[in-house]
Amino acid sequence: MRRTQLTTRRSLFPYLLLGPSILLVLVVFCYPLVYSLSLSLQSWNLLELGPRVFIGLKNYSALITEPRFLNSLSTTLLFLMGTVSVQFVIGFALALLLNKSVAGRNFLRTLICLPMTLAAVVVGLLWMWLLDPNLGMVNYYLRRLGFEARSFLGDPSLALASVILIDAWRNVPFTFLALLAGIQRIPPEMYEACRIDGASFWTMLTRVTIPLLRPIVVVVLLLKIMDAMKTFDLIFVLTQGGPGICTETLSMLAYKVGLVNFDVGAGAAIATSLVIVTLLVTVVYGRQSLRSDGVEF
Amino acid sequence: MVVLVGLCLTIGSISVMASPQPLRVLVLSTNETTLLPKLIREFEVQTGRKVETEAIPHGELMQKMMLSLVSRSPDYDVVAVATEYFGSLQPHLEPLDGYIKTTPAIDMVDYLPGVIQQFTSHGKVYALPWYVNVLLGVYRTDIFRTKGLKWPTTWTEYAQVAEKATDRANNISGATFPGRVHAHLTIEWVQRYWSKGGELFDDDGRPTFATEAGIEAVDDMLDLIYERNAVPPGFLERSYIEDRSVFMAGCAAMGWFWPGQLPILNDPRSSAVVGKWAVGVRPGTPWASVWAFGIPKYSRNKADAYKLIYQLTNKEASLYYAMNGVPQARRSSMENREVLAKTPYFKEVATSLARSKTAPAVDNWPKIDEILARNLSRAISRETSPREALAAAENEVKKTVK
Repeated sequence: MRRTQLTTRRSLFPYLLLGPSILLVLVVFCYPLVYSLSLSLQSWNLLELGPRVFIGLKNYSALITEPRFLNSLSTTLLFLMGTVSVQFVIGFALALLLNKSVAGRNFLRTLICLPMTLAAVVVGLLWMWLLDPNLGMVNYYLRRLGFEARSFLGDPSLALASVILIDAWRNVPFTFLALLAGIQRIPPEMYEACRIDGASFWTMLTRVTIPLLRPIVVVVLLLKIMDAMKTFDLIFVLTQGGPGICTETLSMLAYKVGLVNFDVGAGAAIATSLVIVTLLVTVVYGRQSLRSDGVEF
Repeated sequence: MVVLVGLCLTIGSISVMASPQPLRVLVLSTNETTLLPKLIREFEVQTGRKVETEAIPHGELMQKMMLSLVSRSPDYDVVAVATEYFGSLQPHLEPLDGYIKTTPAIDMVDYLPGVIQQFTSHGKVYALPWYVNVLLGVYRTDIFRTKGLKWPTTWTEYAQVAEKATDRANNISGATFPGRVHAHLTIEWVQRYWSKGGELFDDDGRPTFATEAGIEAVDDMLDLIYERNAVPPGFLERSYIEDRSVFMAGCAAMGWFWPGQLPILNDPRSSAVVGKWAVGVRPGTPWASVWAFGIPKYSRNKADAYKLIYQLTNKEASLYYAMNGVPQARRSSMENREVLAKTPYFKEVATSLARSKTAPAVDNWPKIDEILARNLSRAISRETSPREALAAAENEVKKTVK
């Protein structure tokens, strides 16, 4: 009898220890998600005093035919592809460069990591002033070099590209650090063996570095994809989705519909769509990338 | 130990319950707000009641207020309400008539005609005016003198003067223009539209944006921007807020300021145009707005909240604001000789107010404003034609207005 009680206590003990953490996760993660999902199934506008009405999937069906939503979806995907590829290419190049013993390596590593320490709002304001066509430094030097001042954030043909580059500038340090750590874990003997065999830099890069970095690259890209999908603060400060709707990503649209127009139901539907799109992109990419490594995703 | 902690907690909670909670005020963070602390301190000394003020930027104010009011939260005892948002907020505000009747010194007759009506619904007053906002033109006296220019009285003259004042070689544009997707872009178009006789809604409450006058108003803006090339580069990135910096840096010959912000033009730490500017009345029909204080229905301190509102809006308070350059809805302050001597631009404020109009009394202006700003931005960035942009805005608003 006593042994049975002891066994029961022992089997419950881990759950008791885990209980508070699980409760915390349920409260701070699951509750908002479920609440947002339930809001997305209702018609609820804060400017109207009427009650919330359950309308099923009507908010979602309205989105599918809404050109503004489709524009935001394509802008989000363009932004995602742009910022992640720029971050990856520059981060990888810098990691390769600063893995070698170059003069001032430690100083350069610290310098590259600086943008990561700045909040997105600060980065936005900083670049807004740097790019200002009248008072900004970038346009000042463009004029000095004989070029015309450009409105990088106001010109519809330049706005999204500018936002992508600014976001990449802020996020390159993370990619750089993660890839540098990965490169440093590759045993130097492998490169030595390659050199003895007369392999070129390119061969070492494609046959040793990239294959051995692959798991880290997959994780870095997954994190950056999720990060890029939910970017809001930087765009809010830089363009507020403009000019027109040129830089209006899904998170920006959800904010405008939910918290500027106070159409909470439709805003929640957009936010939920963003979660779904993020999951889709992440799962598809994760599966494709990790399957070849024999990892379950 | 446990008993001791329990005792401390009990004593602590009893003392918290015994002392009244501070009154909580939600206002916008702006130059005018910096004048409130003095009056609030006086209130605290007189009543012994503490006041906590939360000042947040204009863009976020409405969101915070709306979320608090819709959830019937007693978070705030006094809130700042602008004319254009009154329709949305009124259902959540407490009528003040009962309190006003008990305050004979309030002198409601002192308010300029039509101001109290902006915060009146079904015969009940819901907020008392704090200050008046009407856009004023500012211009560089040195540039105007050198080029022999006069402050324009019509929008056509305005475009001509802006073109003449433009001096690209010296990085000076004729006029600032708020082209960012922002409420200020809506204001810029609405004023031109009103000036051409247009109205935002017909008698049945249907939106009427894509009219000939509406399209002409956008064409005027395009003419100023592209044909005459008279606005600063990067106008699509700026609202009136950022435009201020352009004028203050000496990069524009004409700009638009809210009156309460004019004093910063004379601050040499931030302005390169000290002593080189004057004020002009906006052509046509200027946009005006009144900021007022109201009490949320859900406040638990309504009587004290009203006392605070009275403290912040009575004749003495109004005179104090006016002496500090903030236009008032009270005649006694706006006509005060000392005030007029200290702030000569109040003459232009009075002229503008007499010609001005306010946002239509609808209960969903924030949404209409967002729709207009977004579509106007597409038109002025030449993504779409003025007619298409206004028709798109009109259709969207039609779905909104029920």
